Amino acid sequence: MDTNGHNSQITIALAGNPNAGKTTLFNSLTGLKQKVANYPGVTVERKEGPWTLNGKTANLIDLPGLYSLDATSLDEHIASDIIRGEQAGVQKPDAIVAVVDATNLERNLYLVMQMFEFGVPVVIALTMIDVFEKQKHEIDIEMLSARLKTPVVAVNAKSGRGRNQLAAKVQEVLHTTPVVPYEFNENAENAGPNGKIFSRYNFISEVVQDSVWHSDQKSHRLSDKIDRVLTHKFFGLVILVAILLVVFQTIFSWASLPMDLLEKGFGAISDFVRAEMPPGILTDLLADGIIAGVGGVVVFLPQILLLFLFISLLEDSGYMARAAFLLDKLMSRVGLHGKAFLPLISSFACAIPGIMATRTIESRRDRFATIMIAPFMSCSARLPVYTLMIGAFFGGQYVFGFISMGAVLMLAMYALGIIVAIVVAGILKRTVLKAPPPPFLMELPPYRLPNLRTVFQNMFTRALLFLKRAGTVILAISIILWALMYFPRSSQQSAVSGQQPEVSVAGNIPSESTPLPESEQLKHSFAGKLGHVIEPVIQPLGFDWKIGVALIASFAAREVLVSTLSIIYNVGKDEGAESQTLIAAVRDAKTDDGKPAWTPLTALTLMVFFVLAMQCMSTVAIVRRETNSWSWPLFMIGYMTALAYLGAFLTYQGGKLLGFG
Amino acid sequence: MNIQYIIVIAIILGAFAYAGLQLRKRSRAFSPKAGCGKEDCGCK
Repeated sequence: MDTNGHNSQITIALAGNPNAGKTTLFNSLTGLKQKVANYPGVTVERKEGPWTLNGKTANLIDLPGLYSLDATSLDEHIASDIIRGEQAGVQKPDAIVAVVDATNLERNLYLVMQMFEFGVPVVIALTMIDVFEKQKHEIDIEMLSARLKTPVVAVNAKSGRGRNQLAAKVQEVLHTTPVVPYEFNENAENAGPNGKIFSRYNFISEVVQDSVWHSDQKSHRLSDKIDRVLTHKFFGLVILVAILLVVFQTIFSWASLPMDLLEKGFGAISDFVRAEMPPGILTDLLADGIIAGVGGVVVFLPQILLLFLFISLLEDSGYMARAAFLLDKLMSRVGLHGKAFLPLISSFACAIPGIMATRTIESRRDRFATIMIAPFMSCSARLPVYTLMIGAFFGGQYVFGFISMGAVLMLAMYALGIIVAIVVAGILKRTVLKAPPPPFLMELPPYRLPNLRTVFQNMFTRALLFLKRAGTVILAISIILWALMYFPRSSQQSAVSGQQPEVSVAGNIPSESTPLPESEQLKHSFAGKLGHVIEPVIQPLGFDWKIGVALIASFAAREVLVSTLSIIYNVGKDEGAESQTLIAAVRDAKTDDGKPAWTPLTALTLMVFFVLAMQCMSTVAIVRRETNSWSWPLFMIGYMTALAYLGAFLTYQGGKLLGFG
Repeated sequence: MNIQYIIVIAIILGAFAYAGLQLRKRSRAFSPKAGCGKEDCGCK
């Protein structure tokens, strides 16, 4: 047993540049599932897995993607510590599998040169060889291996090409002493670190000249031509907006049928429970708490699946990196580090991996500025909220007769998050986090056909996470919220006599009293009382106390708003009232004085609030960890809540002034 | 108090216990390790 509890004494490190195909190879060798994306910097966390080498199980460690081992960034620190055997809890590797992208040989080999200098045996796994050969280039692998004095194996993780040969070569080099294939001359030694860098590159250049033959650069030229359009500062943005509109429009139109079916399915389950079980508190909990709460969130599964289908397709085709490149100029203008893009793009799925991905940023101030704005990116938990509001108040409306209003509003919400993030970053970088931005070199990966397996794996993983969350955290919160909305039970008699309604936490109404209608019960419940307390604060935003209750609950997790509204409108439904979908319930909801609780302006105001508010306990916890302080997460909650209130206030009051109220 | 109340109260208590455990687990999982540097955090 080693320090990690694995049954093997052999530890192999898998290292390489970002986007070299390292994660795909890791998955292929270990059979583990891991997120694969097509822009650099996705792998931040260390991943481990078993790799069978000639019947023995080795522990394969997936190091973060890096360009060098100069230990300037956190990732490089971790990787060089692991290779030196100085990382606590990780055994020093017996060999390194260096993943080298054949289409970017010179840049990739620089990292390999540094690995040689660490004195650990290296085997080179040459990836993207199919793309390289399609470009009509040729590579003499034997020559490359001879010049580098180390084994080189061409691999293809998808087809399995070279997998066995790679395992055999790794076995061969174990317990051997590696040979550094070049020497630093006296000039290089005296010229400091730069002298060594030039020496390594000189050697690499000679090796590549001896072993690689390039054909004409037709395909490169085509890729460059496409890039000139897609990264153009005007046309690039127009194309980006058009792509996002198409994506959102498709999400709405494709998801509507499965969403309706799911809603009907949960409605049927609820009706079945009510019909088959005796009336009582348990039936109420099952129908109004559990089925309404969890079902209210699960119906948005089709949208989540479609969103991740498109995100994966855009990532895997290489377009996402172009989109990031487009916004780079804007971000650098406000002083934000170029490397902030990758964490911010990850944050569109979820802020937590995005915040963890900021570890690639060397400067503490730049890193903290990125962490502070990452939650503004519209994560997938906001999707159910946006979809509910759009479905209830903007469904079936079109702009210019063919662009759905829903798609335009979704785009507007995403854009609002990005714009506010840029403004906030600009303010932070000029005040509390003042520092000059370091230069950033961004690699644009080649265009390629998306790997459908990776795309569907990504969708499947996200769907599982979403369902797991609905079945655990959302379920528990739904039960708690139902209890807060159900208890205490109040009686009719006391309410009529003008006294405080007679209440019983246990739910027993005195026999001489008749229970209040459910809508009144809700008003006198714990949650109802809390909602009434905060009502004066949220009234300027156009929200009544019921929305207030949902708003408070959503500070645990954003999608809880949907389950809370679902429970509120079910619990508050008087006996005999027909059951309806959540969208219909929201549309028909009334305030205590009988006016509609929601208008299109209220819905828009709520969406703006959700773009800007910090409503995720898990994000707060990860910010606490990554900043090693409570002051930063508290500052984040404070300024984001204030901004959300201000944004919602301006939207509602401004809308009313313009006559939309 | 009938059997339905007893089951419901057990479910509610279970939900509170689960939520509490999750909070505890998350605060532990995300707590910085001792010796975490001021310049970069969360890994060493």
